[in-house]
Amino acid sequence: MPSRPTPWLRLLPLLLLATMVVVGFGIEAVVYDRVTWLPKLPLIAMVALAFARGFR
Amino acid sequence: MHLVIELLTLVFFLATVAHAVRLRGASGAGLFGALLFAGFVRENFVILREALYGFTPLTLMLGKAPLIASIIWGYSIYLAVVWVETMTGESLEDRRPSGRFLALAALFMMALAGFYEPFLKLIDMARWQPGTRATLDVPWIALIGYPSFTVLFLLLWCRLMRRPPGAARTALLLTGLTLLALLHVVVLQGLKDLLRW
Repeated sequence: MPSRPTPWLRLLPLLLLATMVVVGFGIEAVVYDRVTWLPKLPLIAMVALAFARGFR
Repeated sequence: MHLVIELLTLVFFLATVAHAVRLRGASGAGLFGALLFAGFVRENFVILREALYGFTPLTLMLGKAPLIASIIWGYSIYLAVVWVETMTGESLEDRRPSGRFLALAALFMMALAGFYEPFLKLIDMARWQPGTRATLDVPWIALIGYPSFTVLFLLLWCRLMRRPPGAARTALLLTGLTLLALLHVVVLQGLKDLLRW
């Protein structure tokens, strides 16, 4: 019977997305000197919820 | 800067493909094949028809459209699937997504639009038609386009994957995905014009 994947493996795509968001913030801040928080907040909250649930 | 973002997105896309294949086997590979095909047809049709938005000239292309535009649909819809599966415990592999599954996937895609769209505008990578109405640089029509394409894709995919495998199913899938991609652009542009969004 195949072993159940670890939470880290299951959530890898969302970890990649979190990385992408952080990189996006970095590019906005460093290259364009302008960071947009508000439209990103729903996504950040949803990914945080998934991490809280997935790693529980 | 654009090339860096193109390459980063490609790496993230390939990582999610590897993830899907590792955890879902042939079904995951098939899912990404279908997503890539749908994204390729849709984004090339957007360019050929000059609908909705256009792109700054980019380095990596797939047909007439930037590679990043074709692969971002697969990457995003797979993220939505993983997110909903984590939140609900329901699996896409059951091939019968509930209304809650689809609604949450739609919600996730709307949130994703809030991340992508302001960023794409800031770095001048994609340009919506002049006069497109937006709030905080998120075009209103994108809040319909992202979730509707996702939900329709998932419904079509699950419906067809319940059929026995074979050439007939593959032909139906390719035909269905082509129609979905073309009609989605046409209907979305029509709705945008009708609502003056």
